Amino acid sequence: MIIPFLMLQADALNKAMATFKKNQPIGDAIGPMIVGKLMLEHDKHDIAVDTVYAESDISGRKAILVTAKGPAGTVGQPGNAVQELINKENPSLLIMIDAALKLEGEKTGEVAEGIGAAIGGIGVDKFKIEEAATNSNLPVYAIVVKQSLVEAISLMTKEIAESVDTVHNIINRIIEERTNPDDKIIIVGVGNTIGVIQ
Amino acid sequence: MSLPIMGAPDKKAKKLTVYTIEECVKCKKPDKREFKDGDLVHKILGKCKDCNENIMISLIYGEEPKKN
Repeated sequence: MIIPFLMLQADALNKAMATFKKNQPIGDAIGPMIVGKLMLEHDKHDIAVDTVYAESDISGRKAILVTAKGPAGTVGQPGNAVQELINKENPSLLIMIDAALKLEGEKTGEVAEGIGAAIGGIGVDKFKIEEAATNSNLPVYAIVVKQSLVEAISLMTKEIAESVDTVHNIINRIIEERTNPDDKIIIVGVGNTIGVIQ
Repeated sequence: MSLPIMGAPDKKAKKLTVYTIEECVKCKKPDKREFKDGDLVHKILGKCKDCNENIMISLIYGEEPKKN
């Protein structure tokens, strides 16, 4: 029963090897790509293993941007980084951007927004972020770019890549609607940063 | 019978061509070309001929080659 699904995943992993070898971005790199664009021309500081942050100004708010350190293929440690920044900076909003699994009939590259920590993996980073956010009574917003499991580990497609501007517009809208000038905001780009520099 | 339809790798899947989109950070003029080794998203490539600002790789993605 599950053999076709295993074959699909094995085929995707096999094809992904060429993509990683050439340092080309994969579908999962959309989070670091979106936040990395906001980080350009700002000083980057190490905050956890393979994880960097930068400070920027978005609509008069202090934005702390967090993502894995590219262009190597790593997801960093967003859990440790966000936990430390929440305790240190006492922000009023946390926005997380990640790739998310789409349903069979949904379009690739579609952007959805919601509430909660947008992060996959085995749950360690998610727990750390949710624990720190709950202790600080911090609202967590999620913006996700939909894609299939195969697309997430394969070469980034045009539909996924072109969602960058849409997500930037949503970030700006959430910040203007949910925060006041001079507030601090943490924006996290979750995912594998292969082929993306900040 | 239905199992291969559900999830087997599609042998007829077309090979994607990798494109790099270069863009001037000021005048936003995009330039699409095929991917070259060493291309990275957000890498600065040089100066724009029109406005002398940096030209940056804004996107790298795979797309089916267009039929002529």
